[in-house]
Amino acid sequence: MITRVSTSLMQNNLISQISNNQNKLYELQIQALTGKKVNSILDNPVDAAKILSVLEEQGKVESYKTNVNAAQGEYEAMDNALAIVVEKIQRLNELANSAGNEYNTPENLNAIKNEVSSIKQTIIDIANTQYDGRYIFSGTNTGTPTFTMSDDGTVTYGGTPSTGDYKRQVEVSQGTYLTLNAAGDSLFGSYDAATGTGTGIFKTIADLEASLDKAANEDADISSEGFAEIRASITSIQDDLRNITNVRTQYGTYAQKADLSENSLSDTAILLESDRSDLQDVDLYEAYSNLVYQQYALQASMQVSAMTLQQSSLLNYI
Amino acid sequence: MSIISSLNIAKSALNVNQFALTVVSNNIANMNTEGYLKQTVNLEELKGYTPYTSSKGIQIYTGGGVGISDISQYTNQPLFDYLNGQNSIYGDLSAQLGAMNDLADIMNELGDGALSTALTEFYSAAQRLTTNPSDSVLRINYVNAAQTVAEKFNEISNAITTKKNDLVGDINYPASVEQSQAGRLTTSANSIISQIAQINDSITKMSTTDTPPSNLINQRNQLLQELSSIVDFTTSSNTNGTINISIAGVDVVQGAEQVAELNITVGDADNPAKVQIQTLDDPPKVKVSDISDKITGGELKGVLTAASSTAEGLTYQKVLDQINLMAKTFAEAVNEIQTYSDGNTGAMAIGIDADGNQILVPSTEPLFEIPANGEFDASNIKINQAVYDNPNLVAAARVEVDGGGNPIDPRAIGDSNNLKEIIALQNKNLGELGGVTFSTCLKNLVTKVGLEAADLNNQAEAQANVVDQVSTKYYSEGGVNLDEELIDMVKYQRAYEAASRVVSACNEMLQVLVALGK
Repeated sequence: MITRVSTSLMQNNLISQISNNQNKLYELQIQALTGKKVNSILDNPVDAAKILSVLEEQGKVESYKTNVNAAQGEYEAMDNALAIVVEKIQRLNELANSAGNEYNTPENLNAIKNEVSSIKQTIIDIANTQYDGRYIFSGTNTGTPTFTMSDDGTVTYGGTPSTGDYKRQVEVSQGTYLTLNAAGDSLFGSYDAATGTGTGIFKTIADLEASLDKAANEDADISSEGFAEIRASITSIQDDLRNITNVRTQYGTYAQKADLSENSLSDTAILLESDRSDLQDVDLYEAYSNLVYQQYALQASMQVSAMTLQQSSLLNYI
Repeated sequence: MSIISSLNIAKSALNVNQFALTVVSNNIANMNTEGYLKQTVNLEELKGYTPYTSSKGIQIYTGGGVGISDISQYTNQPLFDYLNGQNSIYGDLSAQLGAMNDLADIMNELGDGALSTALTEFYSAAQRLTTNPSDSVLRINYVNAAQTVAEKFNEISNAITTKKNDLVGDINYPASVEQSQAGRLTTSANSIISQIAQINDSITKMSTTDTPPSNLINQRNQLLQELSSIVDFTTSSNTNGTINISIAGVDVVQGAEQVAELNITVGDADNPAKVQIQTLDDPPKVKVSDISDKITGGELKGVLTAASSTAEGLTYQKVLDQINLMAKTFAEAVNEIQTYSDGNTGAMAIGIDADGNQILVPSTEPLFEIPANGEFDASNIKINQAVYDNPNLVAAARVEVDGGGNPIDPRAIGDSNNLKEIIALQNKNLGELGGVTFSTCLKNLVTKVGLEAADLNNQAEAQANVVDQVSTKYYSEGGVNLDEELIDMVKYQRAYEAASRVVSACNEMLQVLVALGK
């Protein structure tokens, strides 16, 4: 209990009261200006740590989103490429159908062969599609053209074999990966002209070309053997088409997965942002009313000080 | 009995009230002087004999006027000692709080350019690189992100070291110890100690009675209070009005004589500055070689504690050690992945073959340059210049290798298996960090700093209140109250006026007497 108050003490008290109020006002101003109640780890160390966790998660989600978008781009490029290939193989099917007719003249057959060769070239070009500077059907050999064709008609696969673990993958949530690449060898096969061996559409096309040559032969026996081969090749063409369509469907599923991931990542991003906001952002109404209240408090303390300093002294009366 | 004696009494009243007004004037003049305590004039009746024979024939006496017995000043030595003790505790806490707040500013991971942001960016860059591992732009981005992490470590280490050096100096530059905060505190403590000794000396010369001059006491009290915020001490009074001061149990002032002083010297790595107590002899004799454990309060204690590695609590050095550990763990983990090889698989950078095509080549360049002493810490972690100049040296791929460590298929530049290992670091619990992930370790440290600062802040605030209360009590009892002084002023003024009226009354009576004699 203080029974006696010295004047300078009273004045010092007034000063410290005013500066207290000013400090509080300053804090509230910072909160209202930044819109954040936790601006520094000093404001609330525990919440600050939680905010850091949320920020880290947000960073991860951002990365996953970028990855998903990259995957989506690649899937789209792949699907576009495969759509053209399917179209070309269907045309090949039509050509084989019409070439199988024994009334075709050698000139007709020659013209058909030319178109078949051009389709082969187109499929090679499409298989060598680059997306963002990399060959999408080359497995992890992204710098190597998927297929090269030599003058004798050999089609060589330059990518990594589909049998090994040569997946290009991106992470779309912790521990979950999307595979980006389909291996070109399993999609299109290859062909070795020297031995006449090969697989897939390239082998089929090479065989068809040979059959067309046979069918155009002057020798009737050889010619009819050629026509028979042409008709038989339709089965292989359809097998190849089915194979490519299957892969295309499979990657369509991956693309759907990527879309789903994108949606769920967007949802997660919203949740995380709301978590962060709850922890860090200030309620603006509250901040504003606190600010106004604190301004009044400061004003009041100043008025009281002015009154005390000016009027509450005997000096005014003697 | 005579009119003259009345005049003499009135004269004493005039003198005394005039003098009392001087004291009031001095009080008012010093109302804002730091540490000034109000002086009070104590009046007493003078023992004069002005006898008068009463009607009953008895001699009756009246007094001989007014005199000043003494000028008293408020003293409450126990309260003053208590105030100084509390002041020391506050000085210690506020110095530690200042240091911890600086640390919290440095470690403010919520601010711009935080280490955790840099780390998140680094992993994001790694993630992006997985989408196209041979892309040169993404590689540059990855290398830059790694560089930012290294620079962040450098900045934090630098900032903490600078702050620590501000407190106690850099052990490698002995001159900096005296320029440090601890050095400045030592200098001011010494200056205060010698001033107190001088005041003691003046007191022995001026003090002829038992009550020493109050203005000197006021000054000395003010100095003692200043000293208490720097370092805690004990005092004992001597009969001649002087006091002895002892710091860390050793007398530095004995009466009018200063016998010892504080001296700051270079310490060891754990405690870069040591404060000693030594005699003023030439050469000085060291009486206490290190006061840090022997003092319990004051800013000096706080500063020495904050900068010490061995003190309890979270000190600069402990935070720095933790940051160094994180830098080391991070650099080593990343480098290990960057140059990984186990005979079956190996980390691969991108090179150029004879035809100018990009091919995989075994990765040998670490991402972070191995420091000269082989030990990474936060100050020496930096990006390997070779990788910075040629981002193709970043090992994104991890593929099967032949016996010679070369990739079986060097064309697989789209492989990103090595980056997966880098990305996995983000969620990996690391034994070096005590079985937590890197970010958890950082978060824990940040939280610890924040909580420690908050705790110190609470303690310092509470202690400030204690000091305030004690100081309020001390100075409200002893300080100048202007209204009181004004009342005293009027009181003495009126008394002076009344006494002068007595003089003029006596004068009139004397005139009457003179007229009677004509």
